[in-house]
Amino acid sequence: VDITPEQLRQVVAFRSGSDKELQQVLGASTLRSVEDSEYFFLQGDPAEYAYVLVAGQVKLLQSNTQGQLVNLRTLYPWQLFGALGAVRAQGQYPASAQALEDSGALAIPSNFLREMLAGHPHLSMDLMQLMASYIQEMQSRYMELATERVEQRICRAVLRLASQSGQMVKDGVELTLSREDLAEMSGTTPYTVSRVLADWHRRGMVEAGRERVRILQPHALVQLAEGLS
Amino acid sequence: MSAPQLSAESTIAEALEGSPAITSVLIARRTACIGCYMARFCTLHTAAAVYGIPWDAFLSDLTAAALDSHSTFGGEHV
Repeated sequence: VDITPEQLRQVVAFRSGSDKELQQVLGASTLRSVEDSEYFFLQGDPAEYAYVLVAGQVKLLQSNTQGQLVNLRTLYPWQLFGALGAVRAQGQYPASAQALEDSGALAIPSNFLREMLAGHPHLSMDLMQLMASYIQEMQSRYMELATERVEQRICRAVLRLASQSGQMVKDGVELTLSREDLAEMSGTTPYTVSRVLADWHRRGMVEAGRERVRILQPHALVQLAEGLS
Repeated sequence: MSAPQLSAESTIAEALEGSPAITSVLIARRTACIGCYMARFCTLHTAAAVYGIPWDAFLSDLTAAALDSHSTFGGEHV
């Protein structure tokens, strides 16, 4: 594997690893490449490997029994994912990891990592730091879900997309998106997205077509997203 | 060097990029333009309209703030 301990130290969970320890990790690991839209693992698979993303981008998706998907997070190079097996033997991945572009990741056998952590408490502390930051992030996500109205969340998602990929057209700002994308981004169902878009359409704030939305009154959406209205 | 020209058609993003000093005017006028997702699309004139600010007074405040900072700092943003 063509990765140095120095590079691996960029991973939060390995930042206090010694060269020797990280060499051992690299020695036990293999490099896996996954093409755009393919999966590193699926929700429910045995968590046999922990991964460190080396190139590309990956999103973690969780689905409920009705098949509704929630985008948990997007991962960038030198982030650890799928590490559940390192702390729980016979664990299963709680989410699927899908490549958003051609991606590569270091696959570290969970058993190896579990034994390594047991003998090297400083590495366990690093992993706990990472987990603590995930818990904090989830708590603030939960707060948002529990307190913000669904309409406000959808509105924020539309504005985020518009600022990144919107195109100025004659009477507004146009963006291409599906109701499924929007539902995934705002933690709701495509049905609710349709209902909210139809309401905005009726109020003259947007023109909602198939797979595209034209924002006619940007300021009205900003007020809605910021809770000013 | 003179300050970039501000006009009704300048977008908020362009205006802020060319003349960061107008930030104080946008805040004093109680707009939510700073950090707004729509700054790339919304013009100064639209902002004045949606916040109910008289256009002429708004433009003159913005221009004064922009010119002031350019003369103070010799045209360099600091």
